[in-house]
Amino acid sequence: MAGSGSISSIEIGPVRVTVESDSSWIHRSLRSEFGPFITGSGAGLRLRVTTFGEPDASCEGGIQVRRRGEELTASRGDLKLRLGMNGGAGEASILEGSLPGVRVALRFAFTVRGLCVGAILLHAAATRFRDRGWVFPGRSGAGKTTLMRRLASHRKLTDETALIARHDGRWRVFATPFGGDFGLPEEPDSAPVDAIMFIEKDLRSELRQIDRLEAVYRILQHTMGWGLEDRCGRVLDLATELTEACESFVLRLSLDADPEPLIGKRFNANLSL
Amino acid sequence: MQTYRCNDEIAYRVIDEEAVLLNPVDNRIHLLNEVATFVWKLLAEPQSIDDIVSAVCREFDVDPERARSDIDELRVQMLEKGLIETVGGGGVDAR
Repeated sequence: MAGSGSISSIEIGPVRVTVESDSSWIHRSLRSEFGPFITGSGAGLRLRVTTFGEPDASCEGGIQVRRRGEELTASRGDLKLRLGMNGGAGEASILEGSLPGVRVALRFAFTVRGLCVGAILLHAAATRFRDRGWVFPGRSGAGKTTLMRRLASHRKLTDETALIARHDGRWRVFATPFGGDFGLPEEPDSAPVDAIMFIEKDLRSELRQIDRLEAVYRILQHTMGWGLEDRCGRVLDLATELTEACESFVLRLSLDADPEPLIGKRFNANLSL
Repeated sequence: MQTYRCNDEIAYRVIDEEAVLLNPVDNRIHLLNEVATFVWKLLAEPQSIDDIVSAVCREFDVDPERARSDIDELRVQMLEKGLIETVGGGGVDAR
C-alpha cells in the first residue's frame, strides 16, 4: 500500500487519517469537505487515493462491504476502498467529482482507525453547554437536527456524527466533519461528556434514566462499524466504559416540544456539582 | 452425550448480572437476563442439558421440570442465533 504524492492530514480528536494522492482534485475536495480538520503533520491511518473517470456500472446500488481476514473492502459505483483492520494503511479509488465518495471513504477510514485507538463514531448529535458535552444518539429521522435547532443556548458540535474518545482520563465528545444539515463546523471543538440522551420521536415528551445494560445496547445500535472489529471486543469495552462514566437517558420528544425545559433540570443538577 | 458450549466468535460483557452479546457474523446484538447469563457463563466449558439444569436448580429457586423446559427453549434459541454450538455426541444438533 505504499505510494507517493501530496498529503493532506485530517484530525478528529485523537484520530488522524493522512491522505496521499497525486490528484489535485482530491486535495481540493478534502479542503472543502474537511477544511477546519486539516492538520499540518501526517501519520495515523495512511490512505493512498487515486481517481477514475467513469462510474463502475457493475457496482450500482448500495455500498457493498466485506471483511476478509484483516482487510475491509467496500465498493459502489463511485468508490473502491480497501483498509487494513489494524488501522495502519489503506487504498481508495474514487470517481473524480464524487464528493460523496470522498466522504464515505474518509468515514470508513475514521471508523476503522478510531476503533484501533479507542474512539467510536456514533450516529449522534452533540452539543456543548457551559463546557459540558451532551450526546444525543438517534436513528435517521429521530429528530437530531430538529433538536439541535431547538437547543438555542447550546453550542452545536454536530447534528449527525459524533466521535467519542477518552482524552486526559475523561470521555470527550468531538465535533466531526461528517455533518448533516448543519454542515461543516467552523472549527474543531470538543467537551467532556456529561450525559448521553438517546432521542426518539413520541406523542409525549419525557426524559427517563436507563440502566447500563440498556445504555450499552443502545450505544452499540448507534456505533458505526462495530461489526468490523475483530470479535467486537474492543467496541464492547468502549461502550461499557463509557456507560460506567456517564449517565444515560432516553429523551422522547413530541413534534412541538421545547427540549430545554425538559432537560434543563438535568443540566442544572450537573452544573451545580 | 450431546454437549454445548459458547461460540467463541461471540464477544460479550456482563453488566450487573446481565450480559450483552455481539455476534460479528450477523451483526446482531443480544441481551441476556440473569438466568440466561448464568447459563452463558457455564457454557464457557462444554455442558450437557442435564449439567445445566442441575446448576440452575442449585443457583436459583426453581422447579427442575420448569428449569429443563426453559433451558431447552433457551438452547434452541441460542443455537438458532449462532450463540452456542454443539460439541461431542457425534456433533449432530439434536433439535
